[in-house]
Amino acid sequence: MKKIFTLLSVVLGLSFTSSAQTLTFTHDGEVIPAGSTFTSDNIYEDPLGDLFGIPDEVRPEIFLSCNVNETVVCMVEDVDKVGNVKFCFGGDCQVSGIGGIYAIEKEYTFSGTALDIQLDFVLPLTGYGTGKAKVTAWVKGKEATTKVSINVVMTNDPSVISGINQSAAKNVTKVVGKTFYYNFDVATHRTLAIYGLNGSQIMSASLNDAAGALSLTELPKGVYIYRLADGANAIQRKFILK
Amino acid sequence: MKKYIYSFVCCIAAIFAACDDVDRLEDRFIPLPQVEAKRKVLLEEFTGQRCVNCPTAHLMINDLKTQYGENFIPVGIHATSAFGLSEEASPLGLMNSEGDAYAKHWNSNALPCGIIDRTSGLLDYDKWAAYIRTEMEKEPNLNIEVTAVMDTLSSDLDSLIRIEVKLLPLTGVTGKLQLWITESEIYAPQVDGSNYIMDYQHNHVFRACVNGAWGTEMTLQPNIYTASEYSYKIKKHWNRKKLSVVAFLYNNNEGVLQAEECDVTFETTENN
Repeated sequence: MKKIFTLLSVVLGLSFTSSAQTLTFTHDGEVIPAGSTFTSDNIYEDPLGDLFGIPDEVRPEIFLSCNVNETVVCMVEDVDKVGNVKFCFGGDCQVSGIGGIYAIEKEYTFSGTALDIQLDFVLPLTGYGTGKAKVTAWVKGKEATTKVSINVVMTNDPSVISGINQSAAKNVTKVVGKTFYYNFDVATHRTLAIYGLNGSQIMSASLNDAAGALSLTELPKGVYIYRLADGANAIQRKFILK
Repeated sequence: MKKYIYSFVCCIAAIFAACDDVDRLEDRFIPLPQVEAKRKVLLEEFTGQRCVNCPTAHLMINDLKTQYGENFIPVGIHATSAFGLSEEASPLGLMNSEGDAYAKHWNSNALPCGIIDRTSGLLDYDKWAAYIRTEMEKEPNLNIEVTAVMDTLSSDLDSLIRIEVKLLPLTGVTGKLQLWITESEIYAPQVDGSNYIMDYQHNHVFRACVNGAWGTEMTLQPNIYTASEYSYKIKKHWNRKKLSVVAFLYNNNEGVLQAEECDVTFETTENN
């Protein structure tokens, strides 16, 4: 009898534990650990940007999940008070800096599915920009026991991104905006060649560092192919400059 | 042994005691009585073509218009550089400087939002229905009649609207008469979620002020009609068949005292 009671207590205890509210931030299906810093250089170019002079935005695409049907409060703080941090969270959209407001708080009642918090950073029309936001969420009325926070860096600045890439995944090459980024385990002599779709070589460069960035601003908009070789191996990829 | 049985029974009793009595479904909803509309209600909705969640507010307005018909007068004011597209840059843009100025005046930093009869303060769209219902049941102290005709006899063929306004006060009233041009069934871009809908139907869009950004001063005596005439030259890219005139009288103490709306019609000549 004692064993039956013990077993029943364990089952009841587990059931209460599993129903505790849990808030989780994710990106592309991957959990962003609480307290960590997530950096995004995901550029969104408005299709009407050229017509209306609309600047590009950095769109980190962060989602928030709550495992019970509750009203969740989410707050975004523009850490450096630079303005242009845009936040909607399923409701009315607001931009930091307008009206002297640098912390934006919104509520949303969940149905259990992950919700795009709709966080963006509006870049300057020309040049580089970086927005830093602290994003905090909690179940309404239960802040003390459910609060979770992450830090988000949104930028198109190569020096900020290459600094992040140094500690990020190795053996990576990618084109973001009009910059070619590379990050390898070891430094060695590599050659980068860029071709047009007709096969003609348009530019070349020697890359001798393990990691860095190369500007492609002199290339016009279009579709290109890059080939990166180190004598023994080569990779070749297509990319689009908008 | 008895102690364990007693504890077990207490656990089970606690579980079932935590359950609420749930009413039958038909008992949970309290139907509201039909509203007796005694006056017309103006909603100034601040919106933007790049506002990702604004289409939800537009749906709310459509529902309210279906429910209240001509007693509900919504005006969509496109505003803010963060969420608007400027008419100056392209005819596809619906934001103008006057609308943006209104948003700044009311500190409309978050879109979508709205102000009802200039008494509600800025409200999120989920709060509009209740406030509109309450406003509509208030006794007005003023009635407004407005007509608007596209003048085909003027030298600016088909581009001049002539507006006649009659103010019919039931009591002494002091305030400002404001006249706006609005346009519906404009097919222009609108972000909905993460993508643009390039041929989105925009309705009740604020286009222009007829008599200045803040209207014309009026002092009205009880039961004495006041009539006035105005004209406005429309822009070439506006659809003159989908224009309306919104007229309302307001003051800073009481907000909008009454509102009225009419479609712009076309003058017929003897030869037609």
